[in-house]
This record gives sequence, C-alpha cells and structure tokens, in this order.
Amino acid sequence: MKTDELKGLILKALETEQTPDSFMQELEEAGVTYTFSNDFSGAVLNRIFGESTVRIAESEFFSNMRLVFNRVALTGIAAIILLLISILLGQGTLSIDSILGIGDIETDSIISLMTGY
Amino acid sequence: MVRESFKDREDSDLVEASVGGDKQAFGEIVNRYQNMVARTVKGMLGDTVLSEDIGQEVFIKLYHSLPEFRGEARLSTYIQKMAVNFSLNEIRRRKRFMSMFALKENAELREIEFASGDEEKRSDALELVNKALMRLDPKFRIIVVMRLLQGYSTRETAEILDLPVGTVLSRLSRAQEQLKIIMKKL
Repeated sequence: MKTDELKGLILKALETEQTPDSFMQELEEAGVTYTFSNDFSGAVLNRIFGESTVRIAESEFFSNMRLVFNRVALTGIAAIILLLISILLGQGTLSIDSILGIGDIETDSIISLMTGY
Repeated sequence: MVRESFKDREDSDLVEASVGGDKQAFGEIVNRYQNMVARTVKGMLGDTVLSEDIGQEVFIKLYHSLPEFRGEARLSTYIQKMAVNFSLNEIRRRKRFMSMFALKENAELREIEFASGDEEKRSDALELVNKALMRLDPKFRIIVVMRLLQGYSTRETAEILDLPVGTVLSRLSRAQEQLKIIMKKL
C-alpha cells in the first residue's frame, strides 16, 4: 500500500462511528501490527511466579538511565573538551600538573607553603 | 506451554483458576490478551523495548488484582482499562522525568525515535503510523489508538476511558484535525 493511500485510509476510518473491520484487515496487510516478543507470556509468568522484584526495579533504573544518557553524555564531553582547550591555552601544555592547576608553581613554593619556611 | 484444556475455557473459568494460583490458566489469559495490550501500549508509547516492560507490568498488576475482579465488566475491558492507565501513567512519568532534566517539549518523541532506531526494520506503513501517533497529543492519541488499532466504537471508547461520549467525539474531531496536519508533514 502506498503512503498516500494509507494516510487517506486512516483519516477516512476515523470519520465513521466505528472503524470498519476491513480497515483493520488492510492495516494488518500493510504491516501495521503490534505484538510483543515470542517469549512475552513466559517472561510475565516468570516475573509473577519467580524471584523478580529486583529485576523490575532494575528495569526501571536502566530505562531512566537510557533516557538521560544521550542528553548528559554529549554535554559532558563538550564541557571536558572546553576545559582541556582552556588549560592548553592558559598553561601551554596538557600535563597532569597543568590539569591539576599546579603547572606553573615551583616545588619550592609548595614546600614553603606547607612548612612555613 | 498452556494446557490444551484451558484453550477453550471461558474467561471466568480462567480467572477462577488463576485466583487459585493456577499458572497455566493465567498463562492462557496472557496469551489470549497480549496482542490487545500490545496494540494499546505500543500505540501509546511507541514500538520499543520499554513498551514490552509496560505490557508485562499490565499483566502482573492484573494477576494481583484478579481476586477483586467481580466480573461486572468483561475481562477484556478490565485489561484494556489497565493497559490504558499504565500507558498514560508512563507518559506522565516520562514528562516528569523530562522536566526534571529541563528537556524540551519534543524530547519524548525524539527519545522514542532514538530507542526505535536499533530495532529491526519495520514496514514503511508501521513507521508512518508510529510517527503519526507519537506526534499526537496523548489525550487525542489514546482516542485514535482505541478507534484505529483496537477497532472500538466511539461508545466503547468512552466506556473504556471513563469519559462522556461527547468528550470522546470532540477529542476525536480534534485528533482528526491534528492528524491531517501531521500527515501532510510525513
């Protein structure tokens, strides 16, 4: 079925008091079917009759993590890159010392600061 | 595997056996109604793995609430109402979650499309229906799902959603207007 035909069919089906059975059949023939995976029934029974409380909580946790990951990851990477560029421009190098912010401090100064001499 | 003897049994018999703890009987209820739940949940939330979890939760909740099922409504209507409530609650949960992280208005749609991206290739028709549904406001989407995917009449839709028939009709009319605009862009 062509896209335009399907669009017209959908809009027409909503104009009637009840969606005609023929529409449901055409929709199915066009590949519009919603089903769960083959082991759905087994998974439900396992969650009811098996030890599953932890898995439910885990599932919600991972779904939340998945939702937020692609938002936070990109922003985080951009922030890290900006920080590294600013260190490189300010310190002229990307050594551990410069990342820690102690790149231009002499060892004697640190000892003096810590010991008071 | 569900025992052969349960396949021809009435819903009321299956409910009674399930309440008594019969795993096979409840398995037959799941088999009988899983496609109906899939149409509602996936129609409302998108065709993703997360929808499958919600579908499972519908049946888990059903199992625990079966002792309170009095048989006043048909079992299919009872399950359908649960699937609708779970779907709408999940949409509310996602909205709260999105607002917590200051995500923009269409973030839900993008997340669904992102999550759908790794699934097997779907038919163009299914892709079109999914996209159109996800672009609809949820309160109009549920009406379209009930009418188009479940084949309910306006009256039956009103009964399942606990809404007056007039409200369903006006939302259906708004949904049609929205769909016309959405379809032009797809």
